[in-house]
Amino acid sequence: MNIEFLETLNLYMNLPFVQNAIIVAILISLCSSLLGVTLVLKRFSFIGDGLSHVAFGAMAIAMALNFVDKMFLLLPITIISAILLLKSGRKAKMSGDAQIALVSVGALALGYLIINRFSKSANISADVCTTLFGSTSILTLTKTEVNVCIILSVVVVIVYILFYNKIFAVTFDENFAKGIGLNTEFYNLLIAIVIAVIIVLAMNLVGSLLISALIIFPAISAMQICRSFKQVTICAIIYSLVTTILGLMGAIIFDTPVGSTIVVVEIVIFIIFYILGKIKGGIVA
Amino acid sequence: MKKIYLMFLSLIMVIVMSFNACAAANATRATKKEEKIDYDLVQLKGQMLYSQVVNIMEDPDTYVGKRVRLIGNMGIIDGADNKKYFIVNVGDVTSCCTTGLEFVIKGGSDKVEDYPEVGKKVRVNGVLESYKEGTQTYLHLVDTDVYVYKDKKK
Repeated sequence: MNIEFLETLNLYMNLPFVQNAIIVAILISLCSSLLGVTLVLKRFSFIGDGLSHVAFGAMAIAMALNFVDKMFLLLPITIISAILLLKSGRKAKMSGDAQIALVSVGALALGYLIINRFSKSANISADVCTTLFGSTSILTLTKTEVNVCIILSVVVVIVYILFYNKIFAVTFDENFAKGIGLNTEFYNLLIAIVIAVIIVLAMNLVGSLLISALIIFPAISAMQICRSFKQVTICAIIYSLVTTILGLMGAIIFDTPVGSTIVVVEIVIFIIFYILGKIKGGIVA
Repeated sequence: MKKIYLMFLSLIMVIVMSFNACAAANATRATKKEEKIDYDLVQLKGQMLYSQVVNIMEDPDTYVGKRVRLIGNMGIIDGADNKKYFIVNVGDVTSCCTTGLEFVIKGGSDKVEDYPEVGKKVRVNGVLESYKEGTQTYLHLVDTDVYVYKDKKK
């Protein structure tokens, strides 16, 4: 039984599309965990959900227009939506969470309607299923998509490293950051763009409906046992990498949907962290 | 703090690059091992088989001219002018995601009676070829051997 298992694992590991999936999954989980800490602390956890539904709507339009590489439509639409949602929240008559909810359900409904009526795909239910739940999308990336994912992930990580101190300041105390002369508008805009990029990338891994898990779980899990911002960030990265790899490998070996398997692994490890946190008496989010 | 992040990022990049190097080497080794069948998908099941077939369709240049073997379910698609397309269907575990690879039996027959019954589990072994119909380019297996599995007794 063990030899069979190892042979199966070896067979799968030799497949180029599995190796591409692992590479992209590692990079996406790294980026999403970095950003998740900022989003959770700024109480923007649900913006990932809203933007992922906008991305689904954009994906529907791309399918209807028969785009070969859909990311070139997804990215601009999601980025613009992120900027509008984050900028208008403070001045609008509607509260921020109401705006996110409005945009979220609207985009989801419109997207499904567009796919249903205008998609030229031979298998609409597969397209919807894989976009919403990420069942096989990470395993069916084109070469262009793999290269774009790698480039964007590297850019996100570099931006985070270069602007780490400023992002830290804007995250924890925006008024203080403004007071010391930081251009908070610019850094909030930068965060919005980075969020949008990560949402579009993460759709390939876990699908639109489960993106929030990829962003939120690493941060809140790390906060159960860690105290400082640095510790939480590093712990979130490790948590995200481990859960993503375990989830992806589990899905491949046991033939389960990739997105759901990753999220279930995250839930299990969150519970472990939560218990450890209770024992240790760490900070609870 | 920045030094730690840069070191961590470099470590991630090294891991990523080593995977890329392995992919190229393993692809070459797989081709050299199998003289008759270049891509044997018989051992793949569920979403792995589905994903591999999708990858064949997305990257045909890598697979055209190669002999491919896979297991799936027999299907027929009716095209324009009463033309029939014979396909082997593969799907993931939820059956939500399914796709099919067209094949032409050895001898090139296009008669339904020369092909297995729809829904039967089949193993096909053919050479991948691309062809044009109108403005669209399609893929199919040619010179295909077909083995029909017997239904399991209940």
